[in-house]
Amino acid sequence: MEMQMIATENLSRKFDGMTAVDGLSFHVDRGEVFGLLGPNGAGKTTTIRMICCLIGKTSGKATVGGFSIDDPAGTMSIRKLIGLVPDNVGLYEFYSAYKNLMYFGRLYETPESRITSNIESLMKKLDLWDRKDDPVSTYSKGMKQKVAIARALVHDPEILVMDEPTANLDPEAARTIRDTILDLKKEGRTILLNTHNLDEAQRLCDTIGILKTKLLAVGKPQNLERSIFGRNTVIQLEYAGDEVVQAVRGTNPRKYTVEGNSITLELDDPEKETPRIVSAIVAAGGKIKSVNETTGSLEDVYLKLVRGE
Amino acid sequence: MRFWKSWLIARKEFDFIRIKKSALGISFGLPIGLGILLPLITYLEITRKKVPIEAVTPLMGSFAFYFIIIAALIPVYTSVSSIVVEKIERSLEPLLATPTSDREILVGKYIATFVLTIVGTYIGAAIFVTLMDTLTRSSIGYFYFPNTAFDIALFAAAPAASIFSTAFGVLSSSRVTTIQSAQSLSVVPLIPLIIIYLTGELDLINLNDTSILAYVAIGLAVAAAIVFQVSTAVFDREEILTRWK
Repeated sequence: MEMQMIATENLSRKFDGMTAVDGLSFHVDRGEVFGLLGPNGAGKTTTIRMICCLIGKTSGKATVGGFSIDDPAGTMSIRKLIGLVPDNVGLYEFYSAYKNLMYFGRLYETPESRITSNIESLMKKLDLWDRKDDPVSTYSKGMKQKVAIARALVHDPEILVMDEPTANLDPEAARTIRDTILDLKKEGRTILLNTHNLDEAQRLCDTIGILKTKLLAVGKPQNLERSIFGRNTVIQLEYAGDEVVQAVRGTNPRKYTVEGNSITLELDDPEKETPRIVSAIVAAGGKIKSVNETTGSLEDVYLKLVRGE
Repeated sequence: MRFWKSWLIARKEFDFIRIKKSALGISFGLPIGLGILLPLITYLEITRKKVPIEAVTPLMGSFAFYFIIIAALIPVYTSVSSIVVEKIERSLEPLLATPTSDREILVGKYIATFVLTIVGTYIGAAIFVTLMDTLTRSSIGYFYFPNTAFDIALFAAAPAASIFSTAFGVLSSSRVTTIQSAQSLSVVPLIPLIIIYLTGELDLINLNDTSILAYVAIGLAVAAAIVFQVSTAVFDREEILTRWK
């Protein structure tokens, strides 16, 4: 069994009687990229802050790297395990990127020699090295976000927690940040990613949790799509005549619809049923142009769950 | 409590203050200005207005109290901005996410404000003593400064006033949500000092009296210790992160 780096059980948080996070239960395995997807005000940042021990919980449990967020001694250990990229970069603008990273490396109690080597490798990897001594105030938004990522990694943490890392960035800068996250994923980092960008979640995350105060669904992106919308098989024919439709009906699919020369089937077990249906169509004289499987997109899943449709 | 972490935070504060002209102006401009202005006023009183020496020396002695007030005044700006600026620029969240305790962070802020205040105050006081002695020696016949009352004011009461005011500034800035309200609240430590000064001016107490100054120093030290404890106890990282928009 893979080690759970982050685990929450019925984690809840209320502010002045208003519930921000309600009964959240999920886990993130070592090396997994877990995306918390949800609209603004869904409780994503509150969840991250509880996990990073920045704010307390109202009820429930959470552990990070085996340490409980309730245990004051464990809190310091949790902070060392995590590198946080907050929704606002929060850099010291008067400092250079290098000095920002040096300062945080020291605060994270990293040995001096390791800080300098980490800074150099991170800044080179993120294409910041040439401007390492320039004040951060002169950087573009994308560069600042890269510095924030480098800051989160300067102590070489086991877990990276990122809150909307590409929000407010132009497409090119957002792409660079996403590529950086993909590289970190390849390195085997455990990443908890808050986002409301569906495309980003789909591209980067192994597992997605859809949050709207409560966790509405959790699973692999593909599984989520299938579990919400099922799996449809679309058979495109040269001509969908009565004999062919009759043959399809004879195979007893859960549901089927005919639209022009295309037959869409809802099947319980497509791997077993599709070959049988294809054989029946061919036996009935049907000429098949293509057979494809379709399902709802992550966007469909998200909107269906968030809107409560 | 790891002092090296507090020192690390203090060093970052020094770097910030170094580029912040308004902080430098208040921390150094104010005491230096006072250190120049007071001896000049005294000199003019003696030479132009022909005020008798017996009337001037008690006034000179009471000037020491200005440096206690200055030591309490500088942190109103610097201590408040050290927390509030971090809140506004959102740099407090990554700082709080590091394995650093609230006390280590606050002590770092205290050190930076205290050192800055004391250095500024002492530079101003050194200028004051030098100029005052130079300008008044021929009239008085001896070097009036330093003296015991001045030493108590400068080396006991002024540091205590600085810590008291710093702690109060941190306390208020961690409880309110704007720099203006934090600064308004932070002037509170000045009120008792101004009252004591006015009481001296009304001849109700003698501000040259070493025992009075010693009581002031002890009172400020006790107040500083209490407010310091309260400010670290009520520093609520959650409140700061969630209430500030």
